[in-house]
Amino acid sequence: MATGKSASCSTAEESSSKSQTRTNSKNNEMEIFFNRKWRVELLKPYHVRYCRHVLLSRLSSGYEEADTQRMTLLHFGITSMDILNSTESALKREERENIINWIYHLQIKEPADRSGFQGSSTFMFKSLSYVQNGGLPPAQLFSSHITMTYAALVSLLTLGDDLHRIDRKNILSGVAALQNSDGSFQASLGCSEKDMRFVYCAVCTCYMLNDFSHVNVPKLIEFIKSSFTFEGSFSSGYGVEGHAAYTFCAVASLFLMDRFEESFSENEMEHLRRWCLMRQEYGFSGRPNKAEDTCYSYWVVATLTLLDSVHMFHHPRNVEFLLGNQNPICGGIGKCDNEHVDPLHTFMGLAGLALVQYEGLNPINPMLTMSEKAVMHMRKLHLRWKGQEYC
Amino acid sequence: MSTSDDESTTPHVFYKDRPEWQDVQPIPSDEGPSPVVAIDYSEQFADVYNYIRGVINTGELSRRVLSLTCDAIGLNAANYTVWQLRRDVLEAIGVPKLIDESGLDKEFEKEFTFCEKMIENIQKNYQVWHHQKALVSWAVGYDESTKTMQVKNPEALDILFKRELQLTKDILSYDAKNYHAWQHRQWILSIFKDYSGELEYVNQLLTDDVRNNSAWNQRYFVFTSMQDFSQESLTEELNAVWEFVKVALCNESPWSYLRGLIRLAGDCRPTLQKEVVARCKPFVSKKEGTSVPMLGLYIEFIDDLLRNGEPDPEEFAEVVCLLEHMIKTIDPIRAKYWDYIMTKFVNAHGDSELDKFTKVEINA
Ligand SMILES: [Zn+2]
Repeated sequence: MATGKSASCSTAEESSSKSQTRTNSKNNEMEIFFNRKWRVELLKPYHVRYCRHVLLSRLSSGYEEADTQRMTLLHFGITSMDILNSTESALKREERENIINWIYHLQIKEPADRSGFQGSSTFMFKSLSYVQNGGLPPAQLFSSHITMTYAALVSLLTLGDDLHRIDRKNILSGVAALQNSDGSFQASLGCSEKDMRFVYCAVCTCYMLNDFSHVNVPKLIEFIKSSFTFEGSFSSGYGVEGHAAYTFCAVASLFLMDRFEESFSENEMEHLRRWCLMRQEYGFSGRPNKAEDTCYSYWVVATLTLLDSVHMFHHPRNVEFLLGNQNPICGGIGKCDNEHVDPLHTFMGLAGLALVQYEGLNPINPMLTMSEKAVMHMRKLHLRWKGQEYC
Repeated sequence: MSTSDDESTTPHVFYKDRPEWQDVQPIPSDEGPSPVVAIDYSEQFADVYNYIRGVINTGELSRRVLSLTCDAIGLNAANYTVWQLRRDVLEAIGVPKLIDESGLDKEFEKEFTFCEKMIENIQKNYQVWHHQKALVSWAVGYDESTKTMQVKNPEALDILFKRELQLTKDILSYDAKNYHAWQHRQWILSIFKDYSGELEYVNQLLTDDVRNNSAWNQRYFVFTSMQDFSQESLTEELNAVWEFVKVALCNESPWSYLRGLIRLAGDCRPTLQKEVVARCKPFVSKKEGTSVPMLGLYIEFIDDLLRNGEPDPEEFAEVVCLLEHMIKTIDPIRAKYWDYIMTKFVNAHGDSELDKFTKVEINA
């Protein structure tokens, strides 16, 4: 078997080793059984090992392109492990603490409008002379990013942290500072891109911190509604083509704010339901006439779960598709068969399987994209915060 | 590096070894005491980003920083902070200028070319498209909050309008469903408020690939921009679209489009729905009738017509029969969904139709 290191091996290497084992297996019955296992069952220990690799080993320089999003890689790795029920068995206590400390290392606590988390230490200017001279780089060059704030909070909750080291009020001000006049959210004060992804991350952040009072909810809902397409899906913003990931972000946001039903007519809901169901072939596609891909088994199925329609599609086909995208050598799940594995698709594949209650997986919450176990922990914190002043 | 400005020379020299950079203090990344999800950065990556941190720390916005950002972007084009630093430099050294009838200012033109090359290299990166949007906004003096442009000269505007349409067209010629390119194109059309040539382009794309859902979405975008939802206009569009429908009955996209189109109709909606139902009938009765999206729309329209108009026992019976067919043979993977639709349909029309339905059965 390949070592943990090979998880970051190139596409060519991985796919060739996969097909090689298939041909060799003819000669050896034991091997036939072993090598076909990934078609019929989830290779849990392999995925745990792959996630450990993502979290704790040094990723190859091929990951430089993901440099600003290391926090999301962490979110994918840690939540995957949680779905596999292995955060405690596969990570030593000290390793879990290291992860928590690294997350907090990337927190920007003030000024309030920049508060939240960054995605990596590349632009963490905490110890720079700029700061020592009493100044900070301008906000557009040093500020939190809403996706990273979301990923950091989910990861902390998943690791059982009690969030006592965050500044809740400042983070909420940081979220509020990113809302645009049309109700949407931009990614960061340093990144004025705006679309439905950032709306979702903002809404989740407010939900996890149990306070929507800092953002303009009616405007936010107006933006989401304006992104509903004639096809019955949601897009990144008005006029653009509907897409499963944006559809999930929109629907989950409305559910988190408990505003779904009042925002849509019965008819519109039917269009949405049909659009989602029509995405299935074996797995799911993200748009009509596009190829299926592992991640849509989460985006679409989570949306269907929220619409109370999870029983309306063909589960065995979906499971078969997802299992077929596993890498039986180094663990992890790719976007389709014979495609190289990556942390996002590994997580989305596992989360997709958890949504259809695949045996032995911890349940996932289809609104927040984190485990139900972590959600329970969060609710306890909410109770603790009740009546408490912001620290 | 292929992405570098012309000033960076071919063999790569580390910034730490360049005499002209000796005055800048390079700053290593602050990984904290316990780095996780660590990346084994290449020596070049570390070198370039050490200097990026160095200049951010001193606040330097100069031409050499512009060329430094070029290297940093080449190593990681998804680094939005480096792109932002680049825009800060461009503004500080006065590169962005409003366009006039002779075109873009020479230096600004270079920046457009740089970004267009980057887009060509990495077509599905958010930051490159975002940068292009910023450049266009500068060139025409676009104000997002008022949705107005400072530049009024039609000749000047036309230069840029055509350039952006060509850029997106080029990128869509590699992948006609590139989400970023479509988003940019729609933004261009909407800020320049000119949709006049777009339907022709959409028709060309649909002729190339009738299953291009992005092109169908663009068609809807163009059609709704005209704001004419009269019966004449909708019927004309229905006729035009029907040519594409016939090419591939199982193609979900045009059926969705028709649904959307007819939802725009006011009082004439039932008329148009009846028209579509009538046009589908010959296919439904033949074996081509196995198109799931067609049958879905057909059933939905009959359901609507029964709700609003006079009950029709024959159509009620036909739909029940079709739905049974869907569940058992045509679309069994969504059997539970069609079962749900059947229940809803029977609950809505069953009572009033039941007597007549039985009569029809007996007569048949
Ligand atoms: Zn994917």
